[in-house]
Amino acid sequence: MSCETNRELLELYALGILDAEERSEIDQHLRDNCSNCTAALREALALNSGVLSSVKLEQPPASLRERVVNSVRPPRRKAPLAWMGLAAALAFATVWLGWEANRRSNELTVASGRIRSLQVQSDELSNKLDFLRDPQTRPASAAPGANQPRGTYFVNPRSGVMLIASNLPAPAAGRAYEMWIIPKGQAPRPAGVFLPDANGSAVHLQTGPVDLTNTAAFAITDEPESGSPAPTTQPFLVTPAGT
Amino acid sequence: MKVPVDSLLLLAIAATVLRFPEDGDLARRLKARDGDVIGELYDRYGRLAYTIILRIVRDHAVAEDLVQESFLRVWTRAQGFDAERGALGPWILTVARNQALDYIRSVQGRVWKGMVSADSDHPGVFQDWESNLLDSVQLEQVRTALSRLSENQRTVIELAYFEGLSHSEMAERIHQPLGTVKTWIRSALKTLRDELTAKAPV
Repeated sequence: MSCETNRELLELYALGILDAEERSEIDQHLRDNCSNCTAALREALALNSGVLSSVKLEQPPASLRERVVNSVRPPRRKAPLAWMGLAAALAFATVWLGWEANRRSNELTVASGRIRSLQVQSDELSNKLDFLRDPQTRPASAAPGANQPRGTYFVNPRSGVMLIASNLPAPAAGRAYEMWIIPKGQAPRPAGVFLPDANGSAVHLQTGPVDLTNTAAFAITDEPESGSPAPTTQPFLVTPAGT
Repeated sequence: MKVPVDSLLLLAIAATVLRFPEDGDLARRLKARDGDVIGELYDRYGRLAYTIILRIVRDHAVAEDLVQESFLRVWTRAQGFDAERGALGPWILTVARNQALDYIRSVQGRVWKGMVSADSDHPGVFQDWESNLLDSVQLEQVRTALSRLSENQRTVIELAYFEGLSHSEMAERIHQPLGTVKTWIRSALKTLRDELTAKAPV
């Protein structure tokens, strides 16, 4: 293909209206970094934006600006709002059920209990999401092994440590897992007690500032469910803070 | 390649058109993921993007969705944009037109591969521009040039810009031989180019 003939083709190319065969020839030619044609393509695009700009302006609705801005910056409370929507739907269902069942007040009690529990879950989830969204949060991983407990700690010097763990054995009755923040050259500090779910997975968030420069590692141990002031069993998922 | 004189003149136009001196700053902030910058870009180019999209899709609700998608696309692809040298306006308009043509093509069950496959709405293409969008004098020149087109030329230009039809699709649409359609398009583009370059304030 000669550059002579390209100018006209490039105008059509810039409009995206070439048939497939011609288009792939131009694609190829541009990939060869032909500087003449790259310049000609820019001119063609300049002509295009000139013609496109010459149309009589329409007025978009004022609300469009906010939509555009929000689409790149999702509202912070999006997840909790979804939960609240669910809670509202449940509340509505509850009212309807209560009416249908001739005010069977016990159902109402149960349902509002579920709403309260959903709201607690929603708050917890919202805290966890906020923590993960924070740009200062970064991962620190424990070494994985097949069917062994594994986990990733997310640390944020301002707001805390989160452990996302799996393959955790179910603790014995009255026992739970306790997370530890281990300072350099000092005794481990307790960082909250938690229980894995039926699949052995857990998400545990310990809130509060973490002095990363003086932190050596994170770990968990098996402890009484009320928690211990110091580890009483062998720590595992031991992960260097990595600063 | 013999560099056509009018191509140099067109570049001269490009160099003299209105520039938004802050565009470089906007591009830098776009790359730095500054969420406030999208609002400012919208204030500058949103109405024009909406107008072009609406002209193509002819549905207000769809146009609003596509404006949103266009700015989102600009936001997500900004990393490839050279903040020092880029021309944000033409890039945003190209993205907007592509989104709208993709939409009408998908509604019609066809695939518009135009610039998307060619990747010419990739921000890299819009680098090293000295220009941004045309100023009001030059826009008037474009309008004058469009008004000088014959009715047939205007039809094919409309089909090319606002429907994204290829030569063969145009021929089918307006029931004309392929060669005739090609001639109309070629002469129309030449008229536009010549009209603009002839009056270029060099």
